[in-house]
Amino acid sequence: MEKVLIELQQAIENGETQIAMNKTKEALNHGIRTDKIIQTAINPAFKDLGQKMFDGEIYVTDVLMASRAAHAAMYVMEPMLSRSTGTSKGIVAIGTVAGDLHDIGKNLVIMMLQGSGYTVIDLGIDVPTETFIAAVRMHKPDVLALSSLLTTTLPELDNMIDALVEQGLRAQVKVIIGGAPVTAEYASRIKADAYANDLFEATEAVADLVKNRIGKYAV
Amino acid sequence: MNQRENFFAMIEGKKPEFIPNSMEVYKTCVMATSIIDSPFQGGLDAYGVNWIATKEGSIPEPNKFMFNDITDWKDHVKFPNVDTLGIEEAAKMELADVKRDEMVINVFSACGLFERMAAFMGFENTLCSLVEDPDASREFFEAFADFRIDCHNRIIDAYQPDVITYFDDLATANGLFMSPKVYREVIKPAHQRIAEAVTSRGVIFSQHTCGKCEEIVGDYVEMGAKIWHSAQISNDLEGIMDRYKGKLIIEGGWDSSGPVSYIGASIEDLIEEAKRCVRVYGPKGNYIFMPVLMNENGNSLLVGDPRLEPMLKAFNEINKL
Repeated sequence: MEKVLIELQQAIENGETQIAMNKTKEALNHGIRTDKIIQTAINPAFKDLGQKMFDGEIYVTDVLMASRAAHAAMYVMEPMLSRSTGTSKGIVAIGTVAGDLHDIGKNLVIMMLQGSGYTVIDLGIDVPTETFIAAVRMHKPDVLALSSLLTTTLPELDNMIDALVEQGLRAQVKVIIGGAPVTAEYASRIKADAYANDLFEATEAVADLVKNRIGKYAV
Repeated sequence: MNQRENFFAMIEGKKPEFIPNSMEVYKTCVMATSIIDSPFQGGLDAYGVNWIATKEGSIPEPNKFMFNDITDWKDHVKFPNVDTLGIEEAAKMELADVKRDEMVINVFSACGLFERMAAFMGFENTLCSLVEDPDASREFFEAFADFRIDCHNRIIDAYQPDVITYFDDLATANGLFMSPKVYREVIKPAHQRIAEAVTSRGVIFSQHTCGKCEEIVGDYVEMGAKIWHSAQISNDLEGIMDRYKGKLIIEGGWDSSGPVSYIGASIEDLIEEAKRCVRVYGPKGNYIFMPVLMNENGNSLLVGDPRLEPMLKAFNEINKL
């Protein structure tokens, strides 16, 4: 692999935004394609970070800084990304369910997904079922990601999936759920497609859902 | 022993007669902190931050930040005048019918150092500031600690509390937001001053931190915390109880994110969870039971719940030590 891509990966893992931007420009100047930059520098950076987070070696601050660096790299590539079709890995609509105003976890997942090359429609917090349904109709996302931090708003996840069925939309979109009180058993009970315990699992699970794979976070 | 005598037996390292239950042992006072730090019904706090009431407590209005860059904090943050906050009036109202010889007076002090910065500038800006602008972050924390210490001194004068429970959620369900190193270098010095100012007045310092924060529980003990409040099972609670026996009491243990805390959890499941807490943590001797029952209206502690009575009855039948 080109040295510049190794350096870019390292800059992202270290959360060095300016270096990540410079290395991305350098890579483009060397004629390296955007998809190769994403596949061989940005994605491996997140994979390494995920393992380090799992091993307890890094913390949310480190992931946040890395996400910002990855965003900076994506920003540099943006003009090229928008010219080439099919560069986006997929569309994810995401929101925190009605009654829940928490957005930390959701926002981190968004940063990870965007940094990994997905198009993300952020529907915000306290999102009513009707808004999710309208977003599914309008944006036709590959994945609908629902977050609930509160035990009191957990039933909204169930309601949301029921609404997709009632509206005849369940077959056209995969549903992933997450949040502190959410478990794999709960996800299975309400017939979600996947469940993620943290932002790295969420990113991996979305990758599986977009490719119609039965991944390890499927339920 | 009554609740108070039993509690202080545990605090003093003697043998209590029964496992205390946070719903019964305390007179919990929240009015002062609701005025200053975190309006429980929503609205503006004493700094001008707007809070939104939810079923599980109020939170700063999302995506509405007072500033984005911590180096600008002095341009935006005006510490309130302690004399005009109404702490004395709050104390009179809350303590009107309290039998001090039977209960433990516990004054909550919500929205600590980290949470306060996040209330001003959001979590993402706050987390980045800790790493990118540690000097400005430290300066903010020290100034905030000065104000918080003034508030605690007024609270101590007005309430004569036994315990102050200081809230700062520094962790997610999976681990700390920041590394222990960042916590120790940027937040802890001010945190320690807040704790020591409380204990120097002879008041017990109880530290509230949700989530998996076991990496810094030793720091809490070191700074003089006697109680770790809302200790969640994502931490090695048994190991912590063994390690800090005689120094730290664990208040929590209920699976507050699990199925027993889902709306509609059965009475049988709740009783089973109470029994698990008693069986696993009770024998350690440094444990306060803290059930968390949620229903459609919120936390049962505040809104009531018919399942409470049978659960507490079952707990009281097996809580003897």
